Amino acid sequence: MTEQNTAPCPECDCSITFDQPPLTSEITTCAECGVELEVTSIAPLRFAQAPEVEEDWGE
Amino acid sequence: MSDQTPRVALLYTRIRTEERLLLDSFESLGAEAEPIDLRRQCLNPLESESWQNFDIAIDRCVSLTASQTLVPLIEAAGLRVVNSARAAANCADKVTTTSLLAQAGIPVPATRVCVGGDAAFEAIHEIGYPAVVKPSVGSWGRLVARVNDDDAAEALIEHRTTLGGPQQQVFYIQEHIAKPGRDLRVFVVGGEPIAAIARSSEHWVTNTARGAQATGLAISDELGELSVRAAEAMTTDICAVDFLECPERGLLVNEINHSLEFRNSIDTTGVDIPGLIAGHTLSLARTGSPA
Repeated sequence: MTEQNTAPCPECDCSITFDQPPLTSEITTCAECGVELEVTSIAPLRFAQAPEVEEDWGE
Repeated sequence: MSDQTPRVALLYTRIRTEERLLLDSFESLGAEAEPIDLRRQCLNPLESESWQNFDIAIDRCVSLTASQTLVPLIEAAGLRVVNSARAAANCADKVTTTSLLAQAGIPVPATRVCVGGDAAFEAIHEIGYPAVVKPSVGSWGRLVARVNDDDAAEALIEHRTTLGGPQQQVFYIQEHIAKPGRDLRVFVVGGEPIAAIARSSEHWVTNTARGAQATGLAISDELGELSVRAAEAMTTDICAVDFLECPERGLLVNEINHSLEFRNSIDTTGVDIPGLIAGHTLSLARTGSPA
């Protein structure tokens, strides 16, 4: 299956395009509706809403 | 190793802008960096073969749990990790951080640590109002509270002891520093202070994750020297050292970040922070410095 750089936003269906091939678990933001998304699959390219910040996250 | 393309394992749990910039930097330096999602790894503590293909790893996990659980196993398999599990643990727990800084003679805010509500109430009185109560493990300014009087102290302690888990019974209490609307952050890579920012906010919590604005800052001799000493005390290869400016006592080290974020500090400082981090990581791979 070939790699995709574009897929629809699961929230607003607007097209989201990556400049570079996306990576699994990459975080991106939909330019149209502003929702923060996580790449869950790269072939085919799929997104899910990025999780809320968890207690053990940080720098 | 030096005549071959170095192979870097970039350990992560989310690919943020920082991880993208690091992957690009490794590539531009002629290395091959493979992103590895630690949430998808099933490690066998008795096996080390799968890590033999790498010359070094860099831990970029946003999840402290993933990092603290799996990085020690990767190190045990013989792979050098930047930062080491030990350095990460030193920075992740504020109690350990403060203890190591104090042992190294580095100035820190007055601090008390206790377990349980009664001791916490006494400690807050000892520190005096306003006091700052933080979780011992946490980041991005989350759950940091400024306590101005007994009513607020009692409410905070009751909420934490009643609603929180065991970790919330640990009270890390500090004096409130009347800083001038900003704190300072110095990025230290390989024992060198490479860049600094000031983080300004109208809110008393001056964390960029809480909306503070970053501006570039010249590194004074004192700031640079304290930063390097703090990084050494933590045994970090790379870190960001946060300072408070106390009107009476000058620079105090507030905390140290082992998995630093830097996306907003590249343009503001004019320093290629990911390039320097990648370059230092590769230098450790080539020299094979022990973890």
